[in-house]
Amino acid sequence: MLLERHGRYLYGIAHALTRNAADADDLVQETFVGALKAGFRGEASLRTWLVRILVRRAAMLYRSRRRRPAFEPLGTGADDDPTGELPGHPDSPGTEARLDLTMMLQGLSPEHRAVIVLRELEGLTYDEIAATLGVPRGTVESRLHRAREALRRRFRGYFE
Amino acid sequence: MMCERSPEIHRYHDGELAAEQRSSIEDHLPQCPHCRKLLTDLRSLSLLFGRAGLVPMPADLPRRLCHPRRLVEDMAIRRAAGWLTAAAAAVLAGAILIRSGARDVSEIRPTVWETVAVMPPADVQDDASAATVAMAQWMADELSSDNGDLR
Repeated sequence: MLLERHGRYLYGIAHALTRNAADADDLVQETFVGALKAGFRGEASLRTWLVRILVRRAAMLYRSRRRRPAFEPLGTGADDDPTGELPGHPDSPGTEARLDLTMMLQGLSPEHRAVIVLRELEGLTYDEIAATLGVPRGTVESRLHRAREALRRRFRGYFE
Repeated sequence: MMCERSPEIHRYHDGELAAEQRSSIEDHLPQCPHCRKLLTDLRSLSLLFGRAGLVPMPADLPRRLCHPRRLVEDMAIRRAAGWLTAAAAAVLAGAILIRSGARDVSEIRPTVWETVAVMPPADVQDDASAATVAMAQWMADELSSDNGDLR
């Protein structure tokens, strides 16, 4: 079934983008509402199409929160690890070097998280990411480069 | 020290370069340790993302998605909004028609004083001619109708 097959994956992406269980829950539901309204026309895989809707919704949520500073912005949710410590870091003996997506995207801005998800997980081209996010291709490239530089610094220990 | 061709390494890694540009980067890589390191890191990063686990979905979310009250509510609200919009449009159109029709009728209908003028006087005697009353009533009725010929 559509909801069961894609819900799990979408929830993981939603949680990685928002880092908050309640927001992730809402985003997944809103994604399916958006999908029902829009109707799938088959230009991309169904999963990619759903992820695009989800990322757009996350961006809208982020923008709405940014306009209303009384609300907690995305990425400072209750699920965040306050220490920012990476689990299973290879420098720590006896731990398994496995990260979840939320941890990997921790510390990135919502804009940078979105481009990383669409590129690294969904494999979209720069033009497709630009169309999904409604930004110029050059913006996609600069966001991707900055996000990756931040990740390279953060995960330096995993690369060697 | 950054190499000025770093942005091209990102595009190379992402498969966003044309064949000629790819060839140029492949010529550059053996000469540039910075770009080699960047490319290695980008590949490692992609592997990390490929292996990264997703935060598991709450156990009850599939059930809520399968019976999504919000989905139903949202769709119902959308449908109701459509109906209400259509109804409002119909009411508005009807009101405009009635209003324009009423203006025409008001032009045709006699004013109050015209109607009163042809009505039998209030103090008409019981023995007043039945024919006179009938005639007055007929004229009043005709003047109240849409027939402008009697004006």
